[in-house]
Amino acid sequence: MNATPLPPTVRIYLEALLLNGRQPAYAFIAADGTLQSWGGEMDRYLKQPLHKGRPADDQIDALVGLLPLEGENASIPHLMTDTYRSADLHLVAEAGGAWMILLDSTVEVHQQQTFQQQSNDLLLLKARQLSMLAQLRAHNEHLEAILNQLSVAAVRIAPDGTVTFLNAYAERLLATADGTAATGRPWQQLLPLDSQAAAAFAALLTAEDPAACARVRLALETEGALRHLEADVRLDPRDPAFRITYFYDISELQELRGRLNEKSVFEKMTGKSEPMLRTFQLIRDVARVHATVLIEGETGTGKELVARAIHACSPRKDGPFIVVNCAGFTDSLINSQLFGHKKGSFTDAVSNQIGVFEAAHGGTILLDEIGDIPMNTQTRILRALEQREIIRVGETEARKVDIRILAATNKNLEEEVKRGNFRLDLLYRIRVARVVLPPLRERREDIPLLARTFAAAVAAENEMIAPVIGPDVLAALMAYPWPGNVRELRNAIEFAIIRCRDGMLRCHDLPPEIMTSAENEQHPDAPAPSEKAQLLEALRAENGRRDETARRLGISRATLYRRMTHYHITEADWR
Amino acid sequence: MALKRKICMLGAFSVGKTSLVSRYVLSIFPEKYLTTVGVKIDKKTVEVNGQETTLLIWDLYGEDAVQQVRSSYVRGADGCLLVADGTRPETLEAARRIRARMETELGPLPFVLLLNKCDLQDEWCIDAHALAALQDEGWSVQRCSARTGEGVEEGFRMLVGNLSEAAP
Repeated sequence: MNATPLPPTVRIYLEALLLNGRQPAYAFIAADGTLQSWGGEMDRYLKQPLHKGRPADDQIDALVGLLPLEGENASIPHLMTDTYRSADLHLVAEAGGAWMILLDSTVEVHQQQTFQQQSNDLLLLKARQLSMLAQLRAHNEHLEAILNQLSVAAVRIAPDGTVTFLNAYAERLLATADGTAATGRPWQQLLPLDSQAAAAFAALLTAEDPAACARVRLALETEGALRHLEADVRLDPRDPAFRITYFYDISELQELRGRLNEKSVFEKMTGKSEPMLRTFQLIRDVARVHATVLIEGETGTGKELVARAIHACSPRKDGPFIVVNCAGFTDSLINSQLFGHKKGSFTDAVSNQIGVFEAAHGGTILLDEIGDIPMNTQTRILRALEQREIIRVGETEARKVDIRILAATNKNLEEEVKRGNFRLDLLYRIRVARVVLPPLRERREDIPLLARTFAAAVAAENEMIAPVIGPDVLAALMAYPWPGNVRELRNAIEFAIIRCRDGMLRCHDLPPEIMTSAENEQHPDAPAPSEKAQLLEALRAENGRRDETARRLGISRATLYRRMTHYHITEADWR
Repeated sequence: MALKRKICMLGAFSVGKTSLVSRYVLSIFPEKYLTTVGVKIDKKTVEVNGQETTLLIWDLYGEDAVQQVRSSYVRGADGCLLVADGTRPETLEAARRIRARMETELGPLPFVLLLNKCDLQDEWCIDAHALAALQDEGWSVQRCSARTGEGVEEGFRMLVGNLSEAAP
């Protein structure tokens, strides 16, 4: 239908569009909004037939609101029509009404849709990534804020040892002398540790499963202040080749521990039990005077440590401290060793030789195992004690010596006096003051502290991380009678650390005699092994090697021999 | 014959304009995102104050960094639904810009702001404070979800209510 003739210019334009495949359709709308005529490819865009004389916007929804044009042209690009084709709708104002032109844009819309879809998908992806990044940043900031609030320094360390990240607390805590703690440097620069601490930290850092290892304690000087830190290492969950180290500032705790330790550690002796605290005080008291002190205690209780402590706390501390193991001397040599000899005084006396009494001049001498000294030597020692002078073997002239004499024994000297093995007057002379050391079984409350102290010391000596001592191990240690006392405990801990594989001491790491004892504890009906049986078992286990057997039992070699003699043990018994 | 009212859906790309129209007109939610090019007109007849009214809903392409919605599409509209994505704060800013531009070019129009995707609680970025600020500025705001249908009917009804108030 084409009741209204097309203007020539419009007709030429539409013909050109037709040739270009735009499939034009057109209609004339009168000034009153009614449809007057239409033509072209109208069926291509509209499903419903058009009616002349009816309002155009009743028949074509897209025209609602657009009419009348009031002299202004209008354009609606890419309108989805009733037939699901896209068309550009143009309204051209004309005298007496308006021309509506529809031009197919389906291909153009399809192309644009493809491009637009890809573009929008990418933009959405980017927006999502940015959002996730923001969330991640916020999450990290929260974590860091928490770490800072908790006073925990976090340091990320690359596989090559380079520090790649420090949180704010770490920057403050680990600030170096020039006030910087920048990343990109080896951790050794950030943490100037002594070689032992550096080795322990390096071992923790390179451990396959650092979370299973105990924390390492470090002392670090930063900005002139000594800080005590505990280092805890974890795998970086984002890249397990990297490590995240958390440093906990325990300086204050360390100071408090130090104050506490003053009571539990005295001159390398450890103990916080009442008997040990009394002993520490006694040592302080006798150290102030020059009196001879007799130190009594079972083997392995630390008699020599007491002697060293008395010397270290005495005014003679800058003088020599000499230990003489009296049980180790033969009868023929003891006089010469103690008092010296003159050249030619006996066959092997090829030169003048001073004895240990003279060597200790100005200091302290410890006569260990004094109960094993032969009677004739006891007389000479008595003279040295009373006169403070000695006579070298082969000489007749006495020499003055300024020494303090300490004596130690695991024997009951009064019993030895009764048996005629020890001079009563010498006993009185050396027992001016007495320090009696309690056996470990009488101060069991010290066992956990001693065990941990020995574990830390043994680990440090071996450049290892101190293992955690499991509660079952502590229970076994507490149950054992410790005939070899503290020395045996230390040896047991060393033995267990050597066997320990995963940073946690377990019962099966302990020496078998302790385990046997713990098992017997669980079966009280089982008879306790006698000391002789223990000696034989240890000798068998060590194939008769005396040093190893004594070490295994936590007793000295001399004590081992003495006990073997006491029980009449011969090689035939353990072979 | 029913009264016809032209309503335009405006907003940034991918805020859910087409999905809201689908939910409102067809009660369905298309899971796949298809970007709109140009305009598609949907119809829904409702009763407003006892008068049967056909809403001609112009679902327009979304704005992005390179293309703005031409005001010629909105010419003769009775009201607009501005749509923003509550998980993308920048789309709220886009809605503000579009409204300002349309009012500059076409004069005052009834607007309702639909904050879509309220079902995505974990990713929701528009807090109550921002919402209250918009309402203080005179915005009619409706939280909604094209996916669940929550608030969609209410949003359209709110605009239709504004249209009848604005009608001469």
